[in-house]
Amino acid sequence: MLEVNKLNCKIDENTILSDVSFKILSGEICAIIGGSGAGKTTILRILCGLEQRFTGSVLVDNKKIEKGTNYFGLVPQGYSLFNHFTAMDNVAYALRKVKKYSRQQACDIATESLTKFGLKDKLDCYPSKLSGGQKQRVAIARTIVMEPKILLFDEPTSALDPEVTRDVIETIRTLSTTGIPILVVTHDIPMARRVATHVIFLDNGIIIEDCSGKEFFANPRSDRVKCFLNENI
Amino acid sequence: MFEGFRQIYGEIPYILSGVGVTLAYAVIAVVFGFFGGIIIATIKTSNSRTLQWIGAFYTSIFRGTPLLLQMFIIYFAIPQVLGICISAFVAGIIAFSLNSSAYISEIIRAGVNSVDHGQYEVAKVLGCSKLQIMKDIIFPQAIRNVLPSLVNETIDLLKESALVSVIGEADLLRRANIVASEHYLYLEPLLVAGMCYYVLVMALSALAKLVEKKLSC
Repeated sequence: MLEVNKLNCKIDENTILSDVSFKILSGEICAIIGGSGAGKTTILRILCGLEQRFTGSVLVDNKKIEKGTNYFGLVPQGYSLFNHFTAMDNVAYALRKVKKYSRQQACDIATESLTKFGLKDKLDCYPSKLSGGQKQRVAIARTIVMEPKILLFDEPTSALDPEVTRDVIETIRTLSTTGIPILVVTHDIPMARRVATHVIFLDNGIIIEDCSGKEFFANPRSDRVKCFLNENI
Repeated sequence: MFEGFRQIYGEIPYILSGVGVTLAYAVIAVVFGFFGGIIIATIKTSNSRTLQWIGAFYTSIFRGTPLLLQMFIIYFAIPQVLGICISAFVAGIIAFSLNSSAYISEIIRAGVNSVDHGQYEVAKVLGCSKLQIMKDIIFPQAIRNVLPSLVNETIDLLKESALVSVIGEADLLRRANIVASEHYLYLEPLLVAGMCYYVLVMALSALAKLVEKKLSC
């Protein structure tokens, strides 16, 4: 379970987040929705330790997270695969360097994970030879093998065609069945509608709505959300 | 001209033996310059303002003054001030290495900046240390991206190594000049030296293309 309490973030006199608090339970797929500059990505950056300029607390399974702990797995926007590594090395690298597995062990785990994602025949391919959907799956495999407690997706379907988007949605759903809480930052509303069991709507760093996915899309309470949904569907 | 070549024919091996000296300068200076360049680039891309300033100051000094002046300071001025003796070879190597470190650091810094910052962040989230990220993820890609610029720098060094003839090192150009003075024939020895430089540069370019092809993925 992920619990975020009174997260405030100010960068260069600009308030990015104001008193942001929410909870994500095991097995939930939570979508954080909002316009550009709403503070969605900042939340992800704070959670995975890339942004230090904040106050408030983050708890994972009721334990406050400390610096240097890798509770979060991030699948970034644009994948950020290591371009000079093959798909297998992309997945195996952190296993060897962080988890200190032997090369053989790391390669076995990477092969198994990539095979699960349907990339058995792409193990030795460099990212430049992979399609957008394949890169996305390598990025997910690279994150999953590190066994994070929470999975974070930053705009997972941006620049993907509808078919690949469907694959990504299926992958996220499958992952959630393992009980791992998933946080998806997106402004792809149709995708959020299909995948999210929990939705947080953020506007100018403030949470406007925090409810179940069904409720959010069927009965949006605030006018801001109604307006946003009308513009984006 | 054939008559001229006939006259200096016996001296050609003497000129050609300068290739070793020229190559030694270029190779040693590039190796030291490369590692020095990595250190200075790391300093420049660090989070410490003081270190960044030191890196920028170093580069500005070595880029802002002529290489010949730097070599004279190392060969003539420093031994005078410190009361030590530095051989022409060592002085030349120090000058070339320090100078190329400055240029290579800028090339590598540009290379580091050319690598998608997202890769750095992802590796950090995966739990990798800064050293691991720089050594395994950023530098290999940065160097691949700037390989043509690094080759240009090596070619420049190879050609600029002719400057060591000024402090008495018997490199390719100095040997050609000695032969020219002895026979009072300038065109032929200089053509031999020019040909050697050209062949070396072409060989280096071909090698670089091969490496570039191998590294492309």
